Amino acid sequence: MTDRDVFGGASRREFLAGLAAAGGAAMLPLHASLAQPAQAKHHGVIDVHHHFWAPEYLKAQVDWENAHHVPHFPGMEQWTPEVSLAEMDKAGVKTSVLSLASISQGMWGLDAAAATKVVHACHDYGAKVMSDHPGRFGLFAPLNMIDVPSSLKEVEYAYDQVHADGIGLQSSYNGVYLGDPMYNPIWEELNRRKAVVFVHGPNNACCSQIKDGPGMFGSIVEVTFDVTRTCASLLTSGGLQRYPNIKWIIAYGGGTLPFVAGRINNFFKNAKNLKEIAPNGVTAELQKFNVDTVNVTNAASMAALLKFLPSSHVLYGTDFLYFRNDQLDDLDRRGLSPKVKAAIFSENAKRMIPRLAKA
Amino acid sequence: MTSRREFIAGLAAASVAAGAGAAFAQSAKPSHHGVIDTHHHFWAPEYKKLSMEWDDAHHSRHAPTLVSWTPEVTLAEMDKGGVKTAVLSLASIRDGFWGLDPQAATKMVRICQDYAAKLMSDHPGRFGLLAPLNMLDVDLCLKEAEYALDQLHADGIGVQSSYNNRYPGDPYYKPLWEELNRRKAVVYFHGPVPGCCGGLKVGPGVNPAVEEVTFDMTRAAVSLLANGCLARYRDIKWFFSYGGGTVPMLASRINAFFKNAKDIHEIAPNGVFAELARLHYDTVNVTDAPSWAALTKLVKPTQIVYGTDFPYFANDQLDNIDKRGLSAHDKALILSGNAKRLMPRLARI
Repeated sequence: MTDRDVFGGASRREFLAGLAAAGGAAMLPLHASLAQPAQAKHHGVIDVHHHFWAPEYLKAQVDWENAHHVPHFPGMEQWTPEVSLAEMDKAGVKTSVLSLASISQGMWGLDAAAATKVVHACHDYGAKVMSDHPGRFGLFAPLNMIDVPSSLKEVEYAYDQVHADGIGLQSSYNGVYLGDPMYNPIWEELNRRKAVVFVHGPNNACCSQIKDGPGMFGSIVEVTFDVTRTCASLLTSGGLQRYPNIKWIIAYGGGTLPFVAGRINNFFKNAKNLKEIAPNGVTAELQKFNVDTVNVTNAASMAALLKFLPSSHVLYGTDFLYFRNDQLDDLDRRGLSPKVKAAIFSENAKRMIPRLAKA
Repeated sequence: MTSRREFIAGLAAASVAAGAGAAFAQSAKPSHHGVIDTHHHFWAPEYKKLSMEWDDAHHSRHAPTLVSWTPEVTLAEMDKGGVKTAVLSLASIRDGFWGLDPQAATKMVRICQDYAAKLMSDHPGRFGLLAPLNMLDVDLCLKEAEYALDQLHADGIGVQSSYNNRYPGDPYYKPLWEELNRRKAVVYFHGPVPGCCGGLKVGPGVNPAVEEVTFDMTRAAVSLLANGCLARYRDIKWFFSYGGGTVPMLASRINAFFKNAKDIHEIAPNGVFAELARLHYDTVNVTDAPSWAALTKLVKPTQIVYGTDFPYFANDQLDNIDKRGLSAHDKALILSGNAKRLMPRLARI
């Protein structure tokens, strides 16, 4: 083995190619939709972490990646609603709630006016996909989050025109975390609407380029760190207290929250303003979060997650098209009772988003 | 709203209750005995001065527990908790090695090593050492390691998870890991204020010690994995702080990304989970039920080693471990047996 093999090994490009090959299984559903799919093992599942690419959004993403010499994720440019439907049918997913994948540099470095155009295009495209395929899709509508007044207009449009099921955000935009006071008017409005807010990990500027090894890139660990940061941000800013009607869903099982919640408590349990930010204690406050199951379906992380949160706060998600419904099989191996499994696979989602129960 | 200053003051008040004050009263008989604490900080006077000067120059407040630390404070806490031996290492370092050049850093490393060696000989049986290296210049690191292990009989090497954004899997460190592999050394990682993230404005009171050190620990582990170091340096006993930072929670995700990597058989011959299960993890701030569940599902009790992170955190973590429903056998491994296996000198003192 040469040094180059050890240390120069796989470039990110090669690594992504490998991942795509893995997805070869992944690509199968495209063909499988033509053949008769085998009977799905699960039924009526709701996937709350499922990505979609409106054409304007795809262009913004591809333009940014081209300008920054970042390879495109295999399959992203070929995505259509039918690709999603094939994967859903294969696994027994009734409804997928659509949201944007990781965004770079705020909103790809766009100004608020340009970003809000992309946001509106995503809203309209999401609405069309929902109406073209009744019952099969929901929408966590994006906001631009750069400019607060236009984000508020986007909230109104998303709810009142598009009938979105909630709002889908990144955990930070240009290094601004969700507890930042600049966002208070948005949280006030979403609190008034008792909104579901889904929080996804971005390619954040601090960390997505960290060189910690061949094949490493921001999506592997950095996105989970960033969503954890925003949980701490919402705790210490008092946001969890001030906006009790917002139903937060944090991606990737809360990132690393179930594992570091004890540490966060050890740091903040004696904070002077504890009564203000966490009147029932830090842990109780952090337990207000709901989380999805993306990549935390193995024994170790699921053990932490279910010790940290009641199963009523855990919602199934895939992170399609990056990851798939084999995560259902993983969850089947966790020894969950039928009741808990039903809660995670669909019932919790229906409780939080009643439209999905009727769709 | 709590400023960072008030927050640190609050933390200090809490830890006085936890530790130092009790030294003056007659402490109750400790409920544990013969414990080994493998995550315990020390400050040679020159090193304390250096870090405080760095703080002053960067308008960063001194942690009160750092300012007031003495060997006597440490011994009082150990006696109170039933800790026989504390293995000393440096706390979080900033700005590479406090912004020093390699020559200045290596002088400071020598001072720290010698100071710890003196504590070990002044208090026989009470201290061990995971010796610092400068980590800026690999040739100097090799000399520092030789001095620490051959002259001072340090129990292993203790470094930060990154220095100026350079992670341990970086090919630059290859000669160092080769030498430490040859020596079958313990290599222990501690979390720095990492270059990427020390300036992030997450929220009031959320200083980098809260989460960022655990994230950086995770990066170090992944860096060693992705660069093939875990597979290549089979005889190094890799040892990670804070229960691996977040490794037990993210093992599944790391595996999901890497299991189909082209070079997976080279970097993780038995799979990603098997590699992560071979590492050693300390118990700092992971003694609550959720994180403990993840850690003990990922690794066997033989890989888990008790640590406090004193003076920032104290031995009340022993009481937490008591609540985790461990067998007497497993608890003995975690509280001292594994440390003695990793660092055999500790069994003889």
